[in-house]
Amino acid sequence: MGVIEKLKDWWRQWRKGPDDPILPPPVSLGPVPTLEVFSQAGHGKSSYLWSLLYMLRKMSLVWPDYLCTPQDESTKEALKGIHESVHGALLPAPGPTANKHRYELGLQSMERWGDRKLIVWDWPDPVFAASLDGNRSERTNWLAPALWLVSLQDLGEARAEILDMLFDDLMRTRTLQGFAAYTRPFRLVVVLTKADAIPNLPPSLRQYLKDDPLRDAVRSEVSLLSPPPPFPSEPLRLKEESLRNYLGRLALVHQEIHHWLETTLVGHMLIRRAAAYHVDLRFSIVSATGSGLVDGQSLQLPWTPRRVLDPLFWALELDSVAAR
Amino acid sequence: MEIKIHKDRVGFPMLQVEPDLYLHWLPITKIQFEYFLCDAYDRSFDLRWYEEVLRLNPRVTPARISPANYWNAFLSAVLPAEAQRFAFWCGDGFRLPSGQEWARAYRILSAQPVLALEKELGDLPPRLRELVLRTEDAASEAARRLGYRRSLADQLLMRLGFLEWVDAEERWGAMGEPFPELCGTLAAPESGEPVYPNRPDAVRLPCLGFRLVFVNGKS
Repeated sequence: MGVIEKLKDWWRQWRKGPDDPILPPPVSLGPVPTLEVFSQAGHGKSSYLWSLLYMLRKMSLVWPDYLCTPQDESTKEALKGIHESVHGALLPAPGPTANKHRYELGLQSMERWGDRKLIVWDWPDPVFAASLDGNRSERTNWLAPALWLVSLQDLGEARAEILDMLFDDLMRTRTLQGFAAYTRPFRLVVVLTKADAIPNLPPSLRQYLKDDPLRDAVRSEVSLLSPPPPFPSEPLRLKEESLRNYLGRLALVHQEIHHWLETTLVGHMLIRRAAAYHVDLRFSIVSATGSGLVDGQSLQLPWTPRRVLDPLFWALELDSVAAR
Repeated sequence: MEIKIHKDRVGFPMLQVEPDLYLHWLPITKIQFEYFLCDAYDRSFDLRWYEEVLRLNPRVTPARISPANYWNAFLSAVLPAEAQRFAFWCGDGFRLPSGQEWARAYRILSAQPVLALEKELGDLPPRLRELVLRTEDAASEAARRLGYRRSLADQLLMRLGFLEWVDAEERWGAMGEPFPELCGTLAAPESGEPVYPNRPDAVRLPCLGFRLVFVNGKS
């Protein structure tokens, strides 16, 4: 094949668009709808996404004009299933390939962030489950704010001490996909999952999880079939000022986790490595289920997600800053 | 706060929290329950039953209690009906607390400083005394490591102990804050609200224990 033919062939491939097998798909600029979630198997990704999606619907309790709308039939069906499972205290099936889903939601009239589309994959990710991911790594939107879910107790003593190296794996995969650390900085929220079971979590952080006002808002929801609560509480409204206060607290919690991690060698190294990679790093803690009391595939206490929207709020904030 | 102690059938201390209401100083221990097992004629509580319970929360002798295992001294993984059976054996006036009683007691005791136990509980039989004092040493050290500031309620292990069965408006609830290594929950005794296990009559959970109240002059 001559040079001209090769160029023509390359041009034909280029014009084929997003399904092109050679080139990565084009990435949209501006506010990025995708939320990338990285996690090792067993670190609570599916449970977290269930809780996140469950709570995203419930946000109508605190944002009266807000609407959360599934953008396709499979997301709608998945949301119905999640809702029923949460009410039935069922957990996602175990295993990295058991809950393959792509969720696409339209989030309308959020206070502060307005309208956004949200696409999130529950899929073995290209870093920590590379052998299972198929072509997923090529679909990863490395410019989107990302969450890295870490369950410290599931890492175990030995692997928890190499957390910085796992972070390095994440960064190297991104770099290999053509996203240089300097020119296209990574926006990453490190989310400590299953925080209810972290034995030495500082008491103030444990209290932060207990005091989740969004959980209280959900508990005060008046159901169509159940009698109203005997002492209805004042409904929570996350309007401009109260949301600003919430985000202020979020920033303090980020700092507190930062300081706490920095007291350990591996935490210190993780933070140093993130700085070296120019990562815009945030920390967050969540408990997707509210307890670790499990019997087989069932929770023994009702699902009570705590602070599961915090990482999304961070992602929206990081996205807003980048768009300015 | 004036300290008034009542003792249960086997000599374990109960602390007065309201004029007619006493609360077990600690969640029910295996030693207390073993008195019941030896004494009660009830086929439900046979060796197999106890082995199953011990499998979920093994036994530890008072001499070996430490900050990493003090919860092994207590009886847990029991169902509410079994706890009620024990309360019946203890005699008139003994029963599981209601959610409101437990919450009120927590509110009162969490506002009080810790006590010098040697002085207050000095007249216990030696075996019980060793159990109570060693548990106190272990639990206070565990709380210190976690950064908890202790009150009298913590001394009674209402935090960093177990979820404890309470009678909550015609269903079974649980109150308390279990030690995080025993099980992860975000139950908050300070909220005054029970959590409601999904299958209280069927599933044994290692972090679910109980204590009794004694209502003076009532049966």
